[in-house]
Amino acid sequence: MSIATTRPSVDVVTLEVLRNGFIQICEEVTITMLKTAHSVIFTEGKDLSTAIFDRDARLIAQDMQGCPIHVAAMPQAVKAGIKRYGIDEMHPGDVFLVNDCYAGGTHLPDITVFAPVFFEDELVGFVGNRGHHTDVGGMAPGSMPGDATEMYQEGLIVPTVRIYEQGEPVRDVLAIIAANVRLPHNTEGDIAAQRAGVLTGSRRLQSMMGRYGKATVLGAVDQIIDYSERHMRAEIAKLPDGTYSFEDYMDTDGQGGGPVRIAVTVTKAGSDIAFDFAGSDAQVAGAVNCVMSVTVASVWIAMLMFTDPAIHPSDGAFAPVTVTAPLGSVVNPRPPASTVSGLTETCNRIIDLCLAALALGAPERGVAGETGTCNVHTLGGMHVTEDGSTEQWVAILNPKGGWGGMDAKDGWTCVQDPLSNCRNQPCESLEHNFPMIVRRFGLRTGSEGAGRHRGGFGLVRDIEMTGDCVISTCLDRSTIPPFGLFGGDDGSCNVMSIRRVGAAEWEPLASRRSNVALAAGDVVRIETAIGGGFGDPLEREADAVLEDVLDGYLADAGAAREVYGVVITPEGDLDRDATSALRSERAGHRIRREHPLPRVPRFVAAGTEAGS
Amino acid sequence: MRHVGIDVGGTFTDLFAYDDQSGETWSTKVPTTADNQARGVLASVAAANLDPASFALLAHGTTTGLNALIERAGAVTGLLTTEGFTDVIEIMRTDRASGYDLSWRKPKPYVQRRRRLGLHERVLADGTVETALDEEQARTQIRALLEAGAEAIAVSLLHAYANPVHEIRVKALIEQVAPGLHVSLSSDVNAEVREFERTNTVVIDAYIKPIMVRYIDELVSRLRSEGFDGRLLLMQGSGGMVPAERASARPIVTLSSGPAAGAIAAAAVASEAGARDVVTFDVGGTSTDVALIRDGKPFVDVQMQVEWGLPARIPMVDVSSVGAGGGSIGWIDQGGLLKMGPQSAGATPGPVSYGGGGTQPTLSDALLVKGLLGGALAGGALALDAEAAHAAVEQELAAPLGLSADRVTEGMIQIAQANMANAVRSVSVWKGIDPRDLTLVAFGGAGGLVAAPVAEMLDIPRVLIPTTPGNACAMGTLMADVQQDRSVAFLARSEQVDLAEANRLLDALSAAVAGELAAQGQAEERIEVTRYADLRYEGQIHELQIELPAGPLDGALLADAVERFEQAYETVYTIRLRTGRPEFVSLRARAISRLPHWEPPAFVGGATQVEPVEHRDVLIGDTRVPVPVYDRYALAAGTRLAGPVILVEAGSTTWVADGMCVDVDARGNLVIHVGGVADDAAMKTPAQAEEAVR
Repeated sequence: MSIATTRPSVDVVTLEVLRNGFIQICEEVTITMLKTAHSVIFTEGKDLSTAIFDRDARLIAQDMQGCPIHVAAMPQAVKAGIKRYGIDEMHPGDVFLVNDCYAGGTHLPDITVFAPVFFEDELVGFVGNRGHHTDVGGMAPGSMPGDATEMYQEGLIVPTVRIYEQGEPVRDVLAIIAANVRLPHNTEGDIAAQRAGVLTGSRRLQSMMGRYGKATVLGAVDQIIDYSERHMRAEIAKLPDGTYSFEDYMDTDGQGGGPVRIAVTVTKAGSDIAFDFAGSDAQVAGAVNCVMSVTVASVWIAMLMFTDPAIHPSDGAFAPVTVTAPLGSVVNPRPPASTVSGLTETCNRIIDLCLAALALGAPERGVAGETGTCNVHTLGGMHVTEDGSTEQWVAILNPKGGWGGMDAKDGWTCVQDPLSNCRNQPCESLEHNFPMIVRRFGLRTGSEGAGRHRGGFGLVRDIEMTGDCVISTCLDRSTIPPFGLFGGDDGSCNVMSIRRVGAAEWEPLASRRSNVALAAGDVVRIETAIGGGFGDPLEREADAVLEDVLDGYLADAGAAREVYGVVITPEGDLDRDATSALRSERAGHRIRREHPLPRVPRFVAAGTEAGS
Repeated sequence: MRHVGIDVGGTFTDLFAYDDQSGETWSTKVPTTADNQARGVLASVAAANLDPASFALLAHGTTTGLNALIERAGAVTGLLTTEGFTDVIEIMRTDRASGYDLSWRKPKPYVQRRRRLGLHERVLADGTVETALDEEQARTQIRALLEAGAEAIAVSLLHAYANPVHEIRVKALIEQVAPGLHVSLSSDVNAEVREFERTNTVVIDAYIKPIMVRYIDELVSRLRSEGFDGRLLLMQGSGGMVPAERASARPIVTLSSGPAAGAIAAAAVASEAGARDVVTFDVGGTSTDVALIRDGKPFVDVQMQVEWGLPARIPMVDVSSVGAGGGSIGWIDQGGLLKMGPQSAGATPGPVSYGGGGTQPTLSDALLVKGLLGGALAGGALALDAEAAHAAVEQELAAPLGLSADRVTEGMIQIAQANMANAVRSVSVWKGIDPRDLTLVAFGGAGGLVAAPVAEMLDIPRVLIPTTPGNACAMGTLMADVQQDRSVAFLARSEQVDLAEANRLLDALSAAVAGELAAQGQAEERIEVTRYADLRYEGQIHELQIELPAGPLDGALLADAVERFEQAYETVYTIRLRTGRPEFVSLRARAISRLPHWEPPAFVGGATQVEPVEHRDVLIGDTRVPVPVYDRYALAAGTRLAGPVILVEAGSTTWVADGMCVDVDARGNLVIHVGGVADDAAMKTPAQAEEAVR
């Protein structure tokens, strides 16, 4: 076929112009979606992403501000679509939709829409996007049931299907989707926005080919993929050869059992790197199972974060990266295992532990454990409108917490977890849209996560309901906190609680529970995690500790002394001499907090014997 | 009397002035004095040899406020919020600038946590007071901020846009406790929903207020001491002017005044030349600013971010910026691709050819090596070292890439142009506009060198280069009107609008903006008020501004406004949302008092037949071709030249590539026809050109 044989060599100048052109196409698709979507989670939350693929579903480019996990797992969805239909059965004007996590999806609320792009009657590539929908049905409003035991409870499962066939809507399929979700108006609007996006992208790819010629553009695709691979290999080569390993745990299997172990062994040789998840627990009854496409995508995200974020993230960037996981394990489950938390929690854990394992090879790039969960909790109930009819409402909340300390700086405070890059919802918008009053929205500070560079802080949010509703929770790192690295302390957990109307005391709210009834006047509190510390707290710059006390990040001078060995005078000044004396006295026998579970990275250099 | 416009940019302070009797004009360019911009302003006046006593009007665009923000050199600022919400400006919106970059640093808030205190009070979403302001506690918190050294206080209480009663009371309390302290209220600066954006906006206003007040005072006193007795107006980011003494009440409106002035000037010149839909294209040393003008009017938006993630939600001409300019550095990344910028050699060390110690080849160096620039810049003040530039391209890029220096030179220019084209695309094609209907208006020092190829990449058929393109921003300050904007949140589904309430708010807004202009001494009969509504589809965050009729709204007028919103939406986003529910978000009023505008006179120009001043050997493809160079002001109006040709003037150069042609229009503007015209004889006199067009 002409496609495979006539690809010219493209010079570096044209290549750079086209590479930027592909990214621009993706960004234009995302902008189209943002501007035409209906739901708050799309428009305010920006929980959506775009990518562009070649005919073989190889990733060419993505929008650089999208959600990492969306994009990294999207090629699997397009590949699954090709496998199901075959290239020859795809036609101009076809648009496909899928959310089945066992067919390249991530979790059911993430709906992927993609379309083949034709140029001169030939299928030349795909444009796809993926967005988190407010509701896809299932046992709980918001479709994030943290206590589900099989995927059928999580929502409507849509295998790869056409929603437009040669330009005509497939109304039967769209009707089934609309009938199975709680907010059909939202869902239809958001799917329309996704389709508008891929159509925009298709037109732009066609006009690029019209301008530069099909052969040149396709030649550039090959070279962009090679270019990414060269760049990634150069980065991998900088790490010491050897095996790196780390393990961490999910709090629970979601059904009362746990913790659930995830282990990774990284073998790095030359410019190749392999991640093996042997030793991870078998798949579990609850929702923390993580499908293989998400496991692979998690490793990719960790590699981009750990190496050079400027690596163009096309297919080639991941050619040197191998991922293996035992079938039937929590990181490669068989259907119909529930996977709703696989994306929002387990994925974060995999990224964290890959970063921690690699940190021994290049500590200057290491990062301690972070919030580790999307902290999703959904509230849902009924509105009575002015004409007396009722209307469902669903609020999806996912407040973010702190990141782990890093070699060069403190952890980020209140920043999206590794897999996502959405935005929080303004309190004022919440009060306009839902029957609630936000009573508090501030930082959660404390001395947890102490280190040479401390963990970033989480937040505390109190929401008072002004109407009856139900709440469903889907959190992790609620019993096992984010880990510290290289002598840094562990951070603190994500915790939820309820103060019932009229009561003085807070009662705990389980981290994975669906449909807990709330009455008007009840207050729901979430405290999000403080990240783990990096390095010995006794090595933290004394001035930084004083600043932390002045800003109330650290409670008082007592905490500065206790945790950091820094002496602050009653006048509020730093006593440098006393600090040095106290720190040298403490050095070597600092009292470490007991870790609930040991989580220590290990590195065995290539050529040395393992197991000491 | 003289009308003088002075725009302070990052590198240069530009002056443009005209005499309203004789029509005589002046333009000068002096280095910006970063430590105190007033010195540069006075220097530009001295360089033009003008007497401040002869000024009727001095219109001024300043970056003093912007620089204070960028350099984090604002005042020690305190913040008062509703209790429990003091950390909103630190939490931000929780997204990060890049999905994968662990080296990113989250921006720090402009107010440290120790100076952020809560007040006992609560207003609900509908504006009702749930908990009355505890005045005693408020006084205690105000005193605490003073003890913590606050020179300015920002106040941002929840839902203050719906009911500002508590904010207004807090301001009175601050005045009691600390008379004269600078105070900014969120309900005054940005009366709109979203607590983070509103709080950050009011914080920025307070943070730059003491600095702006000092700057304006100093500038006024220096000018007065030199006999200045005219009006001093400052350019606002919205494109309107504000009297200097008023600007200090809400200094945030002066952020981004330079780019706005440039867009205004470009819009006015293009409109005069018959081009109503244009993209302005201002190429500076480190960045290129672009803005869309439709039907002669710039888009005004409220999306500005000086630092990533820290918004200033005030009306501002929608200018997009991309990190590609004359100083953009060429480099090779680890994967072996040639890149341009965003790192810039800036003013120091500058491009290699400037001889200021720069070693990395820049876009300016590539343009010199290509042969488009002569041996000197700034009228001979700065000699250019082409040999050094060539050597740098060879050593730093060509040798490692294994390509010829010529190919890399062209490549550097093409990549930078592609980056600039992306910026133009984002404000035009992405908004559903057909590029074939657009004109690119290029200015700034390097605009004319790269604009035509950029237009070609985007299928934009025409490029217009105004006269003295290097001073367009200064000129723009003399083409604007005194303007006052106000807005108030008004959340309502379009079918549930309370007309009486809407009319009450619109009348109050109109009275407020008109009153502010009247208080500034503007004659009341010259004040024009326009009213607008921001609408969006329910669930969306992208609002469109729709002009409302002058009189009271009734059901039919409201329905008409909603319909115009749906039409505008369809135009901008290319689809009509059949299932969308339009809703009102804000109401706005804008008062304008017209000022005399600078109008470029008919261009006298030079001779109809002139000889080239020189020839330059320009790299075209892989050969060097001798290209004629003309002094653009020596050409008569109506002249047409076929490319390749170079047109020069002090401070700016225009490149017309082969296959294109350029006209000198009746105002002296250069108009490049990117696709050329059918008849391409080397040069035409006005008469011949006219003949050829027929």
